[in-house]
Amino acid sequence: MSHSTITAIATPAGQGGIGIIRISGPEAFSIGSSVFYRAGNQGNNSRLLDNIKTNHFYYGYVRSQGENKIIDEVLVNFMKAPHTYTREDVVEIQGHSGIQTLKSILDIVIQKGAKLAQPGEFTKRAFLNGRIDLTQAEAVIDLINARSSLSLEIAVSQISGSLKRKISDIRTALLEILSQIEAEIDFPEDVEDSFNRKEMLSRVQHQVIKPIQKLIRNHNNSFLLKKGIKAIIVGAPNVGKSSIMNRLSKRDKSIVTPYPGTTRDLIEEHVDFFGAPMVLTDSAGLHSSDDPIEKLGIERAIKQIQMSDLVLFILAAGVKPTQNELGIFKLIKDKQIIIVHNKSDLVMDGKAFDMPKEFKNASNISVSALKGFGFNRLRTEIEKKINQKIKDFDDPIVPNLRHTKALEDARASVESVYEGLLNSLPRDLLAVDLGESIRHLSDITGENPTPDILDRIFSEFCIGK
Amino acid sequence: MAFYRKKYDIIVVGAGHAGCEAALSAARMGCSVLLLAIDLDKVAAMPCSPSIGGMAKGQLVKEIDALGGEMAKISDKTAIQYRTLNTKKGPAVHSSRTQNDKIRYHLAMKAVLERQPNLDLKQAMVEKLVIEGSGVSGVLDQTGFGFQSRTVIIATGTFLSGLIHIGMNKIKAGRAGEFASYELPAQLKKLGFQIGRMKTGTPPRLNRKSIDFSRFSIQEGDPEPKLFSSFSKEITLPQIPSYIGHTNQNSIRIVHDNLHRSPLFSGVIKGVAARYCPSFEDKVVRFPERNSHQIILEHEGIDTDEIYASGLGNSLPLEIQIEFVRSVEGLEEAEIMRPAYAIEYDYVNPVQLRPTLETKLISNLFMAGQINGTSGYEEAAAQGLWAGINAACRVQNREAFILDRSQAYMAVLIDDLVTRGTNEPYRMFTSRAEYRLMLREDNADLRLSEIGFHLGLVSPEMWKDVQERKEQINMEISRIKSTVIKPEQKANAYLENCGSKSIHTGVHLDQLLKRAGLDYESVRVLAESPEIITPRVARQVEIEIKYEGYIKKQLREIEKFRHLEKIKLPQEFDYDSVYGLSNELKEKLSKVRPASLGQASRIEGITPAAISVLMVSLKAFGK
Repeated sequence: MSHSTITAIATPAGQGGIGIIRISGPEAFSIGSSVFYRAGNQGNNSRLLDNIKTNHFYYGYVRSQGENKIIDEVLVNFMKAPHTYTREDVVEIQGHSGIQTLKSILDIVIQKGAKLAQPGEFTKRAFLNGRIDLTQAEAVIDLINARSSLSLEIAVSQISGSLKRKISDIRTALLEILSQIEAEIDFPEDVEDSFNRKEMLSRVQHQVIKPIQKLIRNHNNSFLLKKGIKAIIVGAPNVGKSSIMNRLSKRDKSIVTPYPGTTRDLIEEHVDFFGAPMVLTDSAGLHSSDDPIEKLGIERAIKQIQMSDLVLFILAAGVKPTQNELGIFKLIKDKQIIIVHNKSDLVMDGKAFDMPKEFKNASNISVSALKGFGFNRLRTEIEKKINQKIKDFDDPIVPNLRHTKALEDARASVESVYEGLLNSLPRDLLAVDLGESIRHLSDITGENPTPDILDRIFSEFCIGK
Repeated sequence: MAFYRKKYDIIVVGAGHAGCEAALSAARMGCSVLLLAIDLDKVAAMPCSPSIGGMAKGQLVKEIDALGGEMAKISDKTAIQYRTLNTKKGPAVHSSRTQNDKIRYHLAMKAVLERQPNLDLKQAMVEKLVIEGSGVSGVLDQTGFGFQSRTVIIATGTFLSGLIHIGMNKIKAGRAGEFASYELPAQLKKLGFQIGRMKTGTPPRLNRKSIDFSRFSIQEGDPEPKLFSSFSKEITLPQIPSYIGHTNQNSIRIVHDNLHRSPLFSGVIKGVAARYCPSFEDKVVRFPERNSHQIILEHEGIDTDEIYASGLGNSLPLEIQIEFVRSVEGLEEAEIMRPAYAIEYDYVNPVQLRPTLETKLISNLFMAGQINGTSGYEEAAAQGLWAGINAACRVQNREAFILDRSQAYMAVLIDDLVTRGTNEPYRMFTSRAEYRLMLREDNADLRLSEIGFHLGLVSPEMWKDVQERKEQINMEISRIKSTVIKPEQKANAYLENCGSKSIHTGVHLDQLLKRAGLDYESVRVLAESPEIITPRVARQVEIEIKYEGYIKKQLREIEKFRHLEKIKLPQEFDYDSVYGLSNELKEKLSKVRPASLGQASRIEGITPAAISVLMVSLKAFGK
């Protein structure tokens, strides 16, 4: 049995409108009931914990901790072990107001003592607790490996690895401070005792706390997180817009995170694109029409185009653009465009036709939604465009939720170091918090959580001088 | 082939610091033990520095003491200088160190061995293990005479294929003037052991009468020496200072100009040297910006004029050594009594050992000390004790003796060795212990005496004494926590006098004790206990209260750590068939064969995802 209680935003893919926070583990019920306020019974939850009805939807609120403000109106379901997905006590909180609110709920759950789940951890627990058939072991392992590498991949790939570099830099600053302390401790006869609390305070403040805070701020203020990147798929009818959308959003079912949207007029998918949330809109086919209803749809699509950050313009590969398509291009030409030549499996050379000059100046990618060709190139191209967009609006480095949680943990440890320096704590204690903060940052970068301090000492200090 | 008629439970090969502790612990647990030394006049010799303890090593010695070992007691009997290092850097990193009279050390240990029931001490050079099936059943000496036993502990130090270098001269020797063993390592290789090569060295010994001490600064021992062993009562020998001096540009030039005559830098020596203990040639090459290096002169004993010249270690030809030594201010007339030398020797990669220090290849065969790639008397002694206890547990069908990393430095040492191996001589450092705050010198007996008592190595009286002390500590802590100090003038005058803020409401005494600048003395002044509080109890109370927050934090970490330690991995687990692990990790896991998921998690390159994969596989296929 697990000793810890874990939580995550666990909304199943393909479902819109509501988001679910799942809590699993020995303290799930006490944590769940401590964040939840039943409608009409707002002051007192202790009675709830004593008489919880399991498998029953409670209606009520999650409130912010300090100000006691209502964060969301929720339904909460307490499920008793072993009849749950993980075979542990599980609580699910259903909120319905968007990713920011779900995150606030998650924050509160974590403050109450749950840990953010590791990639694949719910499924791992389900397996270890006998919920999943032993014959499924390989599938479970695939899932753990895929999600773990994905969460690292995000840190590495985001803005060409600049997030990883940034965090590595902070980690290195911490390592340098720790190595100095350890060198003075372990080699009292070799290393001059030059410990200077003032200087250390300034290093901790400027090289560690401030950069961490900035990253956390970037996350909280993120343009991306608040609005997401809006991408729209346009094109004439029957060029394969929906299939492309499906390919793009389904490639990793695991990372598709449908956020509750507001408008359902157009088909929307929310895709976590290497850490950047993207709203993909599949527009109706754009063509001139006299049908008043279709006309309305087209007008909406035009509006969407104006509001979007990126347009995927789908053409049939090898086919000369029609008048209609030239017309569409006029509508989108001031936007960031990727021209996607679909059905490239049907022609020998996807760009063999004589393309208008303006088309050639845009990014052109050939794919086959049917066969699945070309989507890696398309993804890379989309990522490039997203990054460009992010640069226009944001500080370029925006950690995602998991990274931010690790950064917040690291910040708490480093703040203890800072206070310890102020309060003349001995160095063996400072080293405890320094080590802890390094472990938290290593969670993001995938670097060794317990790096070889001795190697560092030998390379930087004259040991045995 | 002739065999000695007596059959032993345990044969220990080698009577250095590892062998002595191994033999004593096993004999004290009731096993019949044979301890074989090449030269009985070299038992528990100190071939390098005449000192015991130092950073992290002091902690090891205190732990050996708490488990009923001998090193701390012998150290107290023979100490000629006591120092506690790092007193200003926090309670967890205080380390004791003594200078010792090396001949007296040898004699005192030999006397203990000779008086020990169940223990035969004999002179013999072992050249061969007797193997029966997949296990060991005895040893043969160089004349072919055999001794039989149920288990064997090899503690041969630098003697396997030992090769001394002085300039381009090579001498086959285990230590200067002693035979090396070339048969035994050849047999180990044949049995399938992976053998590596290491290098160490020792500085020259100088004649005291030829040194001008006026050119050196004096380093005295602590004015109030603290005994190493909790069994010792007093210091018996006179206390002698050490002397600190410096080499100069001339010394550096001499060595630099003769690097081509150093076996280290002419490619003759292939063994890996420790980075923390460079020879003078190393220093000249690695720290070219320095014009001077520190040296410390230490007495080798009371009845001898030999002086150990720490910092002058080298492997140069004797004529260069003479010129080099005499370049140092104060050593212009120095007479070298024993030259410095380098030595290369074989070691057995310790990932081939189980956490009990038994080899995975040959059952009932244990290895301890420098043969496992470590350096230092203390590291050797800790392994000797560990292997001796485990061999005895094997003989007596008792559960293996394995401490975890949260319990002792010696557990960190052994876990590091058997999990990660080592390719340079492994020395203990406090930074290797992740739960350093809990593994202090001052609480070694509180941590380990109970275990030592149950093993039969700590006397009931000693254990009772520790239990009583634990009780006193707890009572005094709860008394302090429930005592409120009123904001009266006397209290505030005291606080202000200590540079601490005065109080305006009643404050719990433990909150005051947590303040920087206040220690247990403030408890005595503000609210003295009606009981007699000894300094040892006071010290524990002070540490437990002052660092309560951090101690709790480490305890939480330890709880998490133990969770993975408890999940055992079967020894026959087929890592190759584990789905979803990289080939590199499969190979590492197959080599180390970790005993638990916790140990697996410390293998280099193992990720959290890999541990999850192992958990899933273990559940699906492991049983």
